[in-house]
Amino acid sequence: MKIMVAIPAYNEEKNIFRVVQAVKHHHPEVDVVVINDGSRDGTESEAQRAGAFVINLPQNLGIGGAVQTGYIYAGRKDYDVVIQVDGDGQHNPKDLAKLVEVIEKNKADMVIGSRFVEKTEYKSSKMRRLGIKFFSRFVSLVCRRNFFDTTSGYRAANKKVIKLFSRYYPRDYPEVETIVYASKRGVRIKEISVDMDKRQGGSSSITPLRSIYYMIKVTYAILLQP
Amino acid sequence: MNIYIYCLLLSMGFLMGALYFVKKRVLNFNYSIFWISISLILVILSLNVRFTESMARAVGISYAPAFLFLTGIVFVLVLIFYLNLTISKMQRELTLLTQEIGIIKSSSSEGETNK
Repeated sequence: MKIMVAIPAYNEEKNIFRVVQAVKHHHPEVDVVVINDGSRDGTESEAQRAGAFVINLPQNLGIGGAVQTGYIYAGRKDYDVVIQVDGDGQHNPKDLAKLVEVIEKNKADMVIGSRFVEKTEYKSSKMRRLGIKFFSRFVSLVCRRNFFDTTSGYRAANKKVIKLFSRYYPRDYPEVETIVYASKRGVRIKEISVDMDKRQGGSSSITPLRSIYYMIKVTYAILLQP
Repeated sequence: MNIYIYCLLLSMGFLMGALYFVKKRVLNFNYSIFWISISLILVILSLNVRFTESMARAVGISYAPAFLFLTGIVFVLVLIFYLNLTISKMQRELTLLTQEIGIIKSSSSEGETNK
């Protein structure tokens, strides 16, 4: 199996080296591709120093555009599995094998690394938890099955999903929408429990002000599926 | 000055502007068709006072120029919406191009800096 880890990174020079190294340390057999989303800092050189293959986007596209670049690249290079890992070090690479295993055994087309138990220590943690809960319920209702952590960006996808996401992927805040999009198109999705650390540097892209936009945008996106 | 003459002058100016930019090929042809027809409709409306007034009465507006304004505003809204559609389409195309450039650049430098 040809496995690729796609790491979207925007101004993550403090974290990216450690994230790439951690993946390489646990899984030397996988290819690590960092999609540098128009960063203005040393993300590119830090990622290369850690031994990743770097795709430099000439300008910032946002998380959706960056992740989609990874899927398009994986499709062209004929990878069997793509694992999406955040560039900030929240996702523990030791769980990577668990995600791949589900796909390898063909139990699902897409696997989500899920934080069933919240242990975030953000300032807006209450609101955040409320938002996560709201979307889990909402998506569960729309897809008529249970989802627990729809906002997790730690995912593995097989060829079918790589193809699907190469064609369409939301520009911003894609996590929740892609679950509904894939689920409605017959993709078998499975959630497995993973450990998630508090982010170790940089700042979350979701500020209190943006969270209002986030809620409205994602709700509309779910209600109005393409 | 009569409001209809004022409207006529405005719409004539509009028509001339539209034709000028088409002649210079600055404006895309599909947009120019839109602008030329809008200008022509405006010219016809301002020349044809009785027609405009009967149209206004038909929708219950007693002051005919108000009917013209309302129609104009609706047109502008439609136009803005159309422009938003165009911007969205361009944004999608730009995203695709950016991704493509990123992938091509990374593959061409594969032997040098990358890996």
